[in-house]
Amino acid sequence: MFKKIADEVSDEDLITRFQRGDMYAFDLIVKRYKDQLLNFAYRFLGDMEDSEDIVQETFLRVFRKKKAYKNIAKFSTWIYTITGNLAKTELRRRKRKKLFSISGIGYEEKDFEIPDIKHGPDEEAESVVKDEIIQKAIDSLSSKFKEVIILRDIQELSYEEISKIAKIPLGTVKSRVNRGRLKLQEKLGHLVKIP
Amino acid sequence: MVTCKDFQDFVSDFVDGELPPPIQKKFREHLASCHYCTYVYNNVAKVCTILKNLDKVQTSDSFELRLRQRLLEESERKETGLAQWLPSGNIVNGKMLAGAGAALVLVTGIVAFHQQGTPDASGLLPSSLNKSNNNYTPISTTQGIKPQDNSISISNKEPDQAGPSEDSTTQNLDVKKDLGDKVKYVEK
Repeated sequence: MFKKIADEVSDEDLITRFQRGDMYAFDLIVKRYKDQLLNFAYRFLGDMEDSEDIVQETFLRVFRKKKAYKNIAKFSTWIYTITGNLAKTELRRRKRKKLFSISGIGYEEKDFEIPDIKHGPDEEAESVVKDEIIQKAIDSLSSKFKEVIILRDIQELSYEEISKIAKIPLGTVKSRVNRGRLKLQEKLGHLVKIP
Repeated sequence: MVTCKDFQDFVSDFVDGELPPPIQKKFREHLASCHYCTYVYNNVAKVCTILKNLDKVQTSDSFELRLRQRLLEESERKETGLAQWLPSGNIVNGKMLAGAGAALVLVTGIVAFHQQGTPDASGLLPSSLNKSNNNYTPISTTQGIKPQDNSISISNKEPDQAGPSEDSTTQNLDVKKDLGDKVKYVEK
């Protein structure tokens, strides 16, 4: 009964209560968003530990900057934007680290490779390995395509909401989703069984 | 007529069913005659299905506990550290500190300028150095020496010459000591 009431309260009501000092409302926000934000961050970074850190940092920022949220936008848009920005910053940090730490000696950029599943068992391609292959294909996309693909096809958000989260026009979202999907189908074409 | 490029530019909208019905019809007609676009369409549709059905990951059991600990640590830091007397937010604090530092430097500079340029303008000098006081005489007028920018000259007149009492001479000596090289004490 109590859980049902908690589930019925909107995100915007929860953040308003939290802004007035209700810590229980903050707990509910954490419970409501921790897994979906983790999925978003994980598909963005491909690393569980870093993704959990990103989600932790997201909630810390919500806690610190609670007054920054204005009720004119959806709360989900605001919190996804925070996670997205943190994930993009982490990707940039990794890129810089890659560039400066190895100095090119003995370093070999590994291209995305699709295993030759013609010679492997079909079941393998459809289980854990398949998930890994898909994750690698997502990783191979640049940030701008990755963000919209994850939000649209994995988080199943509307184009309008993605436009607000990524702060890009609706037409740009649609075009990036289209191009991202085309890139993925090229990489995963071998994996897909055409009926 | 729909070309392969048209089809691929809008294949996502076609898969999502977001094209207007007449265009959808034209796209279907194109698919019926183009094997490559049919292949692309099937792949895109399958990729969308695969992505939607990917396993969902979950936060670790300790996630909420760790978050609480971090929040607790942060609030403790706020209570004991600099945050006690500064508003919250690291960036704001940094900016405020920089601003306060800049203001301090500016005020110090202005005071120093006034002290060097016009001894009494800032009103910060001791009354014994004030121009309105009779014992103040610039070196240039009393000794014929070229005035130096960084010096303040003090003429020590006798008490009966409408100047201050003996105390003021002692006071002037003290001031000289206080101001060091910046003050040239001229005894007549």
